Amino acid sequence: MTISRAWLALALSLVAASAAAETGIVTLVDGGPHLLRGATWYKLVVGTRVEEADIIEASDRAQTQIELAAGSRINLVGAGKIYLVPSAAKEAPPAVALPMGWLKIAAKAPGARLRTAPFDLVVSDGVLVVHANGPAVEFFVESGSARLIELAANGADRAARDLKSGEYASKSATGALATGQRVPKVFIDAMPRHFVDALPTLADRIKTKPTLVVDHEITYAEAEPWLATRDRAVFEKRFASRLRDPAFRSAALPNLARYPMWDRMLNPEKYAPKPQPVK
Amino acid sequence: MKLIWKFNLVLLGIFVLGFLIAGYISYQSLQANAREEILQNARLMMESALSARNYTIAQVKPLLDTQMKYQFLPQTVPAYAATEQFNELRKKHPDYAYKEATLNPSNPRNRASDWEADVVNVFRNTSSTTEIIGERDTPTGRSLYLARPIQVKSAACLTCHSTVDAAPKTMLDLYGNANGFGWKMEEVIGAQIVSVPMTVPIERAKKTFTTFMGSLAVVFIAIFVLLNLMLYTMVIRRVTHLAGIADQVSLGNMDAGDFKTRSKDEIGVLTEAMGRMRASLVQAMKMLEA
Repeated sequence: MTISRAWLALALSLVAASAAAETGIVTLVDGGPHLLRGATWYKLVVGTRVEEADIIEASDRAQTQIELAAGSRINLVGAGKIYLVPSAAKEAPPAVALPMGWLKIAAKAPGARLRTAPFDLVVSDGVLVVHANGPAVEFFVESGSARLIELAANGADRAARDLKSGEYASKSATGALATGQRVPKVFIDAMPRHFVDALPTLADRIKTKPTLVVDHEITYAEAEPWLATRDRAVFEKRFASRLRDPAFRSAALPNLARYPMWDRMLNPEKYAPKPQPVK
Repeated sequence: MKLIWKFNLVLLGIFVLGFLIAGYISYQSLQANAREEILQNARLMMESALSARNYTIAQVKPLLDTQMKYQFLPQTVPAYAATEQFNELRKKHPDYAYKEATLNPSNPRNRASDWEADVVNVFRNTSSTTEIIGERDTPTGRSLYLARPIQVKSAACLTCHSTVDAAPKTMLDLYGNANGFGWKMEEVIGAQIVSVPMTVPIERAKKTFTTFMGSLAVVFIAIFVLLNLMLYTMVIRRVTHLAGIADQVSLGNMDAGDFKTRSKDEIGVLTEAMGRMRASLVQAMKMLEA
């Protein structure tokens, strides 16, 4: 494949991605969070329709609530980020990746799958409060129940266990998973104050559909954490267009070994078929 | 006995009797009114406490249901809400009291004291009793209490008070698992007791009674004096004068004075009649002498 063919394929895939369906609506915004669609950051405002593959990042004192079309509500508070994982199948419940931050999810059928670094949480009808900080994750089942699915090294589902309303589980960066029948006070004290209340339903009140305002293109420093997740391949493809930016490319070059697709695009000669020795 | 003494004796008797009857009736009436006022206050406060309970159940608790998953909030408990509302009132009116006296409460402050437990047991033993009114002495004076039974009528009560296992874990964190369990549907578990001080209304009634009786006495005295004055000037003095002249005339002293009057009342008519009688007597005497 030549460089131009590679870029063309990339462009086509991005066009296809841009036609992604709306999966929910942003109903609460506070503290200036941003939305990453494709490789461009936008300022997030109330009424924004979110789509599959969107990423939302927020800093301290920020709050974002998304009400998914499927009925579930997600509230992200403080410094944190979520990724609306594209559905693997049509009937599959919406999936949200939470690498970092405090998140409360009020799930309604068909539920939702919450992906964290060490395990996934499937909640069909219930409310969870989750705090993720990379590999360290803790959560509380406020109501309903949740299924905790441990992950194999390759990301495949492994053992699963169910947690009932009122149960708490935590996993430190290095330790094993621990569960408890009570939510620890330290968890409650650290939790965003408004998480003790039910998440409001506000989607019906929002009639406007604002136009997104571009903030900036993603930098390599912003992209790097996503390129280290289990969705690395997806993000490698998604951010490949940014390799046209010299600053991005030069920042990525030292780590190119981690990104085979980019390496193939930037160094096609390495992957060109070797000429047959003349006999 | 002179006419005025007879008159005054009868008048005094009537006044004393009237004073005593009026005093008795007004005292009883004022005391009954004072007690009724105290009871009205107690009922109003009981209704106020019930309103606080109902408001908590209908509006506060649903709002805090989610928070209860994290921390038990006594503000969601109707008894707590009613007691706290009353405690605010007690800051200005410390003599008033409200207690949801319970035999086996979660919150120790609601535990029934000896006399309260007796009241609760009356309700438990006689289901037909729906209200008890009584009086008792307190350090601040005599007090009237009004008690109504607290009966488990909603299954929602049993969420926290049936068994330790069924109770919210956050509640156990706050109150422990030793008390407040084993309640049963329809069971009388305590009593709402409102205590209202009697001293002030009773004192007010006594003051009103004193004022009323004082006023009545003043009126009686004024009437007594006025009647005596009228009796003396309109009757006694004129009759005495008339009797004096009549007495002199009867002894033959025809110069004793004239039976003169300008009054047209009964004594005036009598005076004129006696004047004519004397004139007739003088004429008859002259005819005999001639």
